[in-house]
Formats: sequence, structure tokens, C-alpha cells
Amino acid sequence: MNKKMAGYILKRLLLGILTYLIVVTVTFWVMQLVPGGPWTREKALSDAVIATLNKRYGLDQPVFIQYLRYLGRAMIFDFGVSYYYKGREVTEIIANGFKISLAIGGWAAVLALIMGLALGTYAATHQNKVFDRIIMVLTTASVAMPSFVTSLILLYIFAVNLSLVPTSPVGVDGIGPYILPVIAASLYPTAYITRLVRSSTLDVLGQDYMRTAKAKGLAPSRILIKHGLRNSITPVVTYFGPMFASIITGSLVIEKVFQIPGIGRQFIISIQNRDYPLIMGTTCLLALLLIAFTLLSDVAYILVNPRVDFD
Amino acid sequence: MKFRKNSWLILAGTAAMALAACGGSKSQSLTVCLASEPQSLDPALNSAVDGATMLVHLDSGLYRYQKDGDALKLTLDLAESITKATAEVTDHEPDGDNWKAVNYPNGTRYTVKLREGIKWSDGSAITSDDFIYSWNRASGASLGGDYCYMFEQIADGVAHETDDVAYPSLALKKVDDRTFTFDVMVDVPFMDQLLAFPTYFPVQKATIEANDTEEAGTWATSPSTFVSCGAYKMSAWEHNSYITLVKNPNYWDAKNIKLDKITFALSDDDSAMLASYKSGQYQMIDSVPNEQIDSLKAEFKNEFVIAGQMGTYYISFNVNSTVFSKAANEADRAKVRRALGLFIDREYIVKEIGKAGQIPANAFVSAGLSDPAGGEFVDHNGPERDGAGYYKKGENDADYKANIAEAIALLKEVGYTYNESTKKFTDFPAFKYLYNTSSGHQAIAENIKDTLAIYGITVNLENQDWSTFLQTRKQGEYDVARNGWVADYDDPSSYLTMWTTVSGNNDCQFGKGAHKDAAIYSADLNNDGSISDDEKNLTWSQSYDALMDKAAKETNAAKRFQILHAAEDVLMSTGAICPIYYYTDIYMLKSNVSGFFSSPLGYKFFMYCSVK
Repeated sequence: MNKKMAGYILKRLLLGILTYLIVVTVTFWVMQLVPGGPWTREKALSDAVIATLNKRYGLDQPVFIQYLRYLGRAMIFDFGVSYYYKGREVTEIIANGFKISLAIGGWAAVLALIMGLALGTYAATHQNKVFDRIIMVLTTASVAMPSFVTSLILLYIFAVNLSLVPTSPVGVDGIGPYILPVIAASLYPTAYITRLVRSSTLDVLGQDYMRTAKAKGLAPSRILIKHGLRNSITPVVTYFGPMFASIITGSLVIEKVFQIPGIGRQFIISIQNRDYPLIMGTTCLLALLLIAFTLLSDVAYILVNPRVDFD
Repeated sequence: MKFRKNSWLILAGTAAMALAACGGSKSQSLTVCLASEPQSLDPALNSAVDGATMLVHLDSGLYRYQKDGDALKLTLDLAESITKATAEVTDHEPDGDNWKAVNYPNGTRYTVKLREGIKWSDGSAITSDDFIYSWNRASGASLGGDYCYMFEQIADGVAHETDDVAYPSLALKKVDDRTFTFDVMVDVPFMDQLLAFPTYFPVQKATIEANDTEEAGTWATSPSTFVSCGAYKMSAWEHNSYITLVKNPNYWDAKNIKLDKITFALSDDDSAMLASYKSGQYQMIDSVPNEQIDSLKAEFKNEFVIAGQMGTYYISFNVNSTVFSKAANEADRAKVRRALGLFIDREYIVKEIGKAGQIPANAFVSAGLSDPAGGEFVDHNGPERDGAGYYKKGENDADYKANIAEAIALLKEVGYTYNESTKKFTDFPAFKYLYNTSSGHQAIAENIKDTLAIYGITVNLENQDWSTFLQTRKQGEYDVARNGWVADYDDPSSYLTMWTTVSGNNDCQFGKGAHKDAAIYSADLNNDGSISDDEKNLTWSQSYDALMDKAAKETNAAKRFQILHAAEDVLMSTGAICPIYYYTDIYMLKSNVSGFFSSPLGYKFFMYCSVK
């Protein structure tokens, strides 16, 4: 690692910390502005109960004091207990959900990368042939169709009608119940990567150095992998970081349809419940992951693309 | 106490619930899905119906529900006997910063004798100390439980030094390890139901003190620390995914518990639940996608069940709203609100939108609640006490037309202009109808908008997310809003106490703001069946609050119900409560499962189920 690179990473890390602080601050103040609170119930709580709960969680303190306390806690990633799920630590709730979302999202990302590279390269090298057309139609459909439609279609075909996999992980051992969620989660990024790779490969195939390689008598597969792929992969590298951060933090729809106890569903529920500590915890996690993977993606982009340097 | 099953309460899937078949020697288990992750399974902290269903399996109280033919009955559970005697009872009421003693000469003292040899799931004995500890814990504001008010019927003891917030501890006295007493000011008819209510279930003191050092309810979040006293014990809780219960051999009646294992899948997605039901992974689901009700009814004739539920879907009007500008005083506003309520086509809403056998409603207290004289409370509602309610339900054309004619007449009376040729009002102000974001509520809101548009009345729809909506409604920052209420126990007070001036659920803002001084109500305060001059032109606190106060102190059940009917008269005379329908409870249960039953409070009972 050279000096330039270290400087770049340090600069980006500092920027990342600043971004994190801004996210924590904005989330806190937006939470204060949103009407309704953690003790809002259809069957109202008595004033005495609300007073007890406010006192217990420090909500009786001036808002600015609450903000400073949150800020302190966000720095060490300790958000205390959930206001909604009685007696449960926010970090434990997040860890439980995140490990599942990470597994599903991680596999989906790997699947998307492999499928996207393979299909994109194949489509580019067979431009305007039947398979290219089919791949383009399928990827357009995958990008356009909302995930609750694709998820329900997968669920009904493979789990309900064909009974190839279980409909939910309840009472089932093994990876069966996670196959469809991984596929569902990978559909959009697979389609996106396929299209990116196809167009960048087409672009690369027309370059002079490719013709030179061909003229040197190199095998077509070697030309494609050694000279083509390295260049056509650059847009994928930029896309992959933020995509990875988003896919491993779960999807509300996929987790609901396949009854997966991941963190995506948890995040939405925590907002509905005005569960302040859980909202803060999940937001901070999402922010950190996004910051980290965007940075990794940018570093990787520079590494694979010799035309860009750390200035 | 029995819940009478009326014709409408009769379970549509009776076939599915045939007499319990004998379970074979094979281990019997069920996977069911009621709702998503419960907020808490600490009986003192739970306030949800799905949590209550899990708790009636895990824990037990002094009474429990059992099936008795087509009805439900309460039988003794952990108690061997419960006896009552008239006693002078002392309660404590807030008096400035202190508490003052109030005597009730005709109070009741309950003496509870626990069964011999009853044990917790960890094998230790359940004693009267456990009940005393648990009830004081659950009723105290310092715990912060949603349902701490469920102990309001029980007399308070002298203020407890450590209760720094609000309530003194309860007047519970230990006689010996198996016996304790408690006092109630007025022996309300639903006391037995309260003793079967999860908030009254005992919890183990040692477990709580060892685990809840930082936060209340921690002990109840993991099977390793969940010590139970009911038919089951917790064997697994995969958060947000499932909870598994297995038979508790230490339960006193374990030999009669049929099902060995219950898995509660935790999901709230109707489509996903239905997929798991169709694939056979779940044997029972508690909700289905609304748009598929018709096809499911046809496809699963013996498995799709519509059961009665004590609940009312209604529209609440803010009595302090000035949107109906021509109505200059409260009496006129009441006419406008009643008129708007009369326009609504309840029959269409239940048949075409609800689709789940809901019953058009013409009163606030729901169908299904018992009357001590036999029958139901609704059988004797309405100004004539003939069960006709407060207007026609509009089940046939003539009735609906009569409602419309009355509505038009009322609005004309208030001064709005009706164009006889276009059959529309020309100067009725547009108003906003608020509902919480949901396709079901939206469909009803749109129907109301369309119906009123026929008569020239413009309704603007606005939706808010649940938490925002609750706050807007509670603070009275709305004109007209959707509303709903489900009973906690089978007694009309579970409905009517919410409209007293001080109630936290008084969304209509009765007795608050300008409404405080509106002296227009007539109330049968003497409970003699007629309204004298003294009983006219009363304010909300002089009429409704006074009636509810009287009902709370009345010991004669028949008289008490007369007062409650009188209170409902006053409530409905405001026009601010516009009932739409009485709820039903839809669920699906596989036809090879027998011995299942549910209660109109929404609890489901699986312990006596067998699977063929």
C-alpha cells in the first residue's frame, strides 16, 4: 500500500465518521418530529404509567440531553433496551436479525455476481442471438417487477405447488427454507449486473487492445478473461459495494413473504412502534455498512482500474 | 359464567370442531400462526390477544376457560375453592399528594384456597405468596404494564412506601401458604373473568428477581428463564420466527392435556401465512388476505371459520370540531352527526367490503356480551330496550330508505339547503375523514365518501400511520375518524367506561373543551325508567360520568345493567359514535384437527386438540 492510498483511506474514514454523526443526528431529530410515541396505544396508558416509563428511559429529560446521551451511545454502539420488546437488548435483537440477513444477502450477492458476470459476458459475446434476447427480456422483467410479486410467484410455484422447499423456516432444519429467499434477493442485482457487464463487455470488445490480443493469436477465452473481464468489471465494482451493503441488511418484502426473521422487517416494525432505541440501532448499522462498503468499493475500483489513482 | 353462543356465534366450521377424538399413543403436535413476535410474554406486561393465547397455554390463573357444549365456561384452575363473604372493605383514593381511606360497608371479601401440591414448571411449589407478589407487581404503575388498571376492582391496601408513583399496593392478605384473601369494593359480575385474565396469572418471584435486574420482563424472553405454571412450558423461542411449547408435567391437570407440543409461528403476513397453511406446514392460521376471503370460503368449506368476537367498528366524531358550521350549538351538531351516520350503507360494507360475516351495528356495545337476565346486552338496547338499537341497521331497502329520509330531514332542520330536484345538499361543508393506513380501512372510507357524495356531501380522505393516527385521535385534532374497540372482558363496562370525561380513550373529547358546558343531556339518574325534569339539561359530567359512577357502585346486577343501558342512551344521543359493524374473528383450521375452541375475546385454545 502506498502513501497516497493510505492518505486516501484515512480521508475517507474521517468523512465516514462525519457521515455517521450526521445520520445519527438527523435520525434523532426526525424521530422527535414524527408524531406518536413509544407509549401510544389504542387502549391508552394512564398518566402515571407514562410518567414511570418516561422516567425509566430518560425521556423526561430535556431533548438536548437525550440527544447527547444518544450520541454517546451511538459511538460505542450501545442502544440499551427496546421500548417495545420488553426486556430485550437492542444489540441482541439486531445481532439476531443481522446474522440471518447477512447470510441470505451474502449468498444472494455471490449468486448475483456469478450469474451476472456469466450471463452478461455470454450475452455480449453472443450479441443479438436468441440467448442474448432471452437474457435481456428476463433481466428487464426482473428489474421492473416489484419484489413482492417475484417473491410470491417463487413461493407459490416452488414451495406451495411443487413442494420442493418449505414455505417457512418454522419447524424445518437445513437450508431448504432459505433457498427461495436467496434467489428472490439475488434477482434484481443479477439482472442489474448482467446488463452492466453486457454493455461494458460490448464496449471493451470493440477496443483496439482486444484486436491486438486477437492478432497476437491468443485463445478467445484467454482474451476475454485476461483482457476483457478486467476492464468490463469496473462498473460492477462500483455497483457491488453499495448493493452488498443494501442486500445484507435485509428486505422487508422478502423477509415477510418467506417468514425470515431478518433485520429488514425489524427496521420497519421498529419505526411503526416508535421503538426509538431499535430505530437508532438499525439506522446506525445501516449507515455504517453503507459507508464501509462504499469505501471498499471505491478502493477496489481504483485497484482494478489503472487509469484512476488515489488523487 | 358462560358465554352464550348465539346463532351468529356458532362456528361456521362446526364440522372441524367435532368432539375431541381420542389421541393415539403417537406424540401430537400442531404448528399454528396467530401473529408476529409478541411484545412480551410476561403476563403482567402483555396486552395483546395473541400474547394472551400463548399465555393461557403457558400459565394459569385461579380460573380457566373450558368448552361446555357450544358454550364456554369458567372452571377453577390453580384454585381449589374461591369463597365470597360480605365485608366492610376499605379502599384508598388519591387526596392531593396523599391517599385517603374510603369505606365500602357492603364490599366483598374473596378467600382463595389453592390446590394442594401445585408446582411451577421447575418443580417448586406455587404458594399464596406468589399470587400476592404477582398481583402487586402487575397492578403497580412502577412496572408500567399496559393492563395495570385491570386490578381497579380490588381494594388498595395502605400506601406502600416503595411505590413512588401512583398506586398503593393491593389489600391482599396471606392466611397460610395455600390461602389468601382479597377485597373488592363492588362485587362486579365479571370478577371470575378477571381471575382468568392473563394479567392475573402468577409469576415466580425468585425468577424475576434473578433476571429482571435491569429491565422488567427480561425473564420472559428466553426458554431458559421462563418458569411457567400452566399446561405447557417453553422449550424454544427463536425470536421473530417461532415459539415452541411442550407439555408441562408439573401442571396439576397434565393428564387431561391432549396436545404434546405447540409451535407458534411468528408472522404477520397474511399471504405468507396462507401459503404455509396451504402447503400443510401450519395447521391453523388466524388471519387471511382480505381479497381472498370469497375464494377461500368456497375452497376450504370445512376449514374456513367465522367466529363471533366482541368488538365494534365505528366512526368517532370530535364533539369540539366546528367543521359543521351551520350547526351553531351542540344539539344541532348532534343532529348533523346522527344524520351522517344514518346515510352509511352498513349492509353493503359488511357484504362487499368486510366479507367475513360481520354484523351491521346500530349501537356501540357489541353483540356477544352477556346480560345477567339471560340473552345478550344488545337484546335489550335502544331507547325502548327492545334490542332495536339506536336506528335501523338498513338490512333491507325500506329500512335503509327510512334512515336516509330521517338523515335528510335532520340536516334540513339544522338549516342546510336540500335541492329537491337534484336530491343533493348544496351547502353542506366538506369535511375530512381520517383513517389509519390499511387497505381495509381505505375501502370503507371510500365507500362512505361515495355514499355521501350521492347527497352532495364532500368527504376528503386522509390516512396516517398507526402511531400518528392514535395520537391525532386521542388529542382531538380531527373532525371525523375511523375507530374500533374490542372488549377485554364480557361486560358492557369494558365499552362504556372509555367515554367518561377523564378516560384516556375518550377520542370524541366528551366533557372536554367547549363540550364541557353543553347542558343538553337527559339521563335516567334515578334508574326509574323515566326522565324527570331534574334529569334534563345536564352536562356530560352530570349525565354520563354520573351514570358510569353509579354503575361502578351498583351491586345489584339487574339495576347495574339498567344504568349501563341508560349510559348508552346518553352516548348514542350525541351522534358522535357511529357504529358500522360488530367484528367477527376469521381463522382457518385443518379438518383433521379436533378439540379446538376459541373465545369471543379472541383467545384460541389448542391444549385439548388431537390430530388425526
